[in-house]
Amino acid sequence: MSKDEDFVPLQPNGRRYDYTALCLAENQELEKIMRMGLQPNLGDLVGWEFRGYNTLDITSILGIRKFKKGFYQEDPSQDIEEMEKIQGYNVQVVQTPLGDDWFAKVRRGDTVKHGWYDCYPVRLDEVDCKYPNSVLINYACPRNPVWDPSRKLRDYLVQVYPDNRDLFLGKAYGALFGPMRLFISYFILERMNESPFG
Amino acid sequence: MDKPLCLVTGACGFMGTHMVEVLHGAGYDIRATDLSAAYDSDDKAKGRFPSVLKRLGVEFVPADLTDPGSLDAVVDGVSYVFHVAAVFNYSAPWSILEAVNINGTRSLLERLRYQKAFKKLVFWGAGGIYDLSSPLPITEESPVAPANDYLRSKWEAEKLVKDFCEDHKMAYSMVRGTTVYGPRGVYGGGQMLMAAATMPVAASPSNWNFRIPFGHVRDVCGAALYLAERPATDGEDYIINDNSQLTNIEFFRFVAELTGHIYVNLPPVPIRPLKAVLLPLAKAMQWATQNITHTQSPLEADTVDYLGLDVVYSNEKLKGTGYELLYPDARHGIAETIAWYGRNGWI
Repeated sequence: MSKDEDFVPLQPNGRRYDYTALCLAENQELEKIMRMGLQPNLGDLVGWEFRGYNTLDITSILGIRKFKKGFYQEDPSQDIEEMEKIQGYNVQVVQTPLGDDWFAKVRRGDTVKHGWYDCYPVRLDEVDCKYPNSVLINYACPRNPVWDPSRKLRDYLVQVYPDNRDLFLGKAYGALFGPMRLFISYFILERMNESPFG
Repeated sequence: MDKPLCLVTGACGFMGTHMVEVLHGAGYDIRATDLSAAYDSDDKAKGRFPSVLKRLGVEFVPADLTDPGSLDAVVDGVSYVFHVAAVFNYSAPWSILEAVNINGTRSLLERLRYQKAFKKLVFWGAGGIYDLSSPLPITEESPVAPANDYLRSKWEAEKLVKDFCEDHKMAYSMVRGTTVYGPRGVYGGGQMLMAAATMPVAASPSNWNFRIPFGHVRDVCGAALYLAERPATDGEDYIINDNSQLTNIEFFRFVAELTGHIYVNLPPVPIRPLKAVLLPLAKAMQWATQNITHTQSPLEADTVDYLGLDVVYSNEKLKGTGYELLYPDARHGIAETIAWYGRNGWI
């Protein structure tokens, strides 16, 4: 839940943020939203892929500025309302400018999925509980090989507006030693298409 | 109330199968026709995919456009006719092109003339019939100058349809696709996409910024149905092309990025001398594949002719009818099509 029920994130020009405006927003504005945002409902994420954009400029050089994230339920027979965690993955996309569309890369007839994760409401008894109002995207899951550096990633995700279940703000950290965490980038997610995993 | 019966000619081919799927999706009753042999089994080399018709449970009546008598059973009771069937091959001799593309169309028209249920014919023309050196963008009014026998046959057939239908008060519209691509595309646009997607290193000279026109097969077929249903479009011809104006460089770079291959920007390469080298080579390959291996030549003189041509088509007339493109940006269709090729083991 939001810490301040009256908080409505607005741009300096007084308008609500849309996807592009969030992508271009200052870090301090994004941090405010991270702190005040709503905890996403796992049921709103499952079965969908979201277009993603890292705000850190260097991710352009690394070819990961634009991406997609998908969410699914490993055990679809379970009631989503009772699920404690869901699963997800990243999809590589062609690095086009921000205003251009998202095009998923293709290998052998399928999109290129990597960086698998578990996603669950932040647990206060775990190290990664910096934003209790968020869900944690935890890459330390068995679907990533032990040598895969993505296992070190920990993302927090919040819903930006209560009346918009399609727009999310995330913050990515790298897990260093023990409880040490290194901030990497904010990222913005917006609902794009259904996940092939349903 | 039952929807009118639609006839699709060339129904086992790339365009034909998509036309059948579009009609099926719209809930029409469909009669599909093609050569009897085309219905046996899928044959990628020949661009035949009867499994699509079989999967949809569509009525199939075999016929041969060069055998007018075989068309009687095909046209019986049809309302809308989507005349897709044609020999689409830059290496085909004129005698075959004339027999199928022109005379076959005449035979079909003569039989449709007496069909009481007949409402409208949509004829598959070709976007390439225009003088491609005309001022851009090319519109339906641009001068026509077919550059090869295939295009000449399509233009002659168009004129035949226009004259015949006007003489006999039969409704018709023409669709002229440009570089048509999409799943199951083997030739033309499909050939180009598969080649680009399988290049381990894609490269393009930095001066090759000429634009390539694209139109997704679903838009060609979707527009054909849209036009069939609208009497206001009777007697009109429509270029079917998307909004994107990808340059050669943008196309190869996009496909390389999409498929994870390396893209290299080469130093400028003058096109005219290159064409002078490629043209005799293409002709030699065409001769050898026609007379010795009896296969499709991977390089054809008419394809070489297109090299370096900056081509932009207007789609304003089509959009003016209210038709909304399913694939206004070719990149979405290209990505989907390459994924389809991969899933089906074509690349």
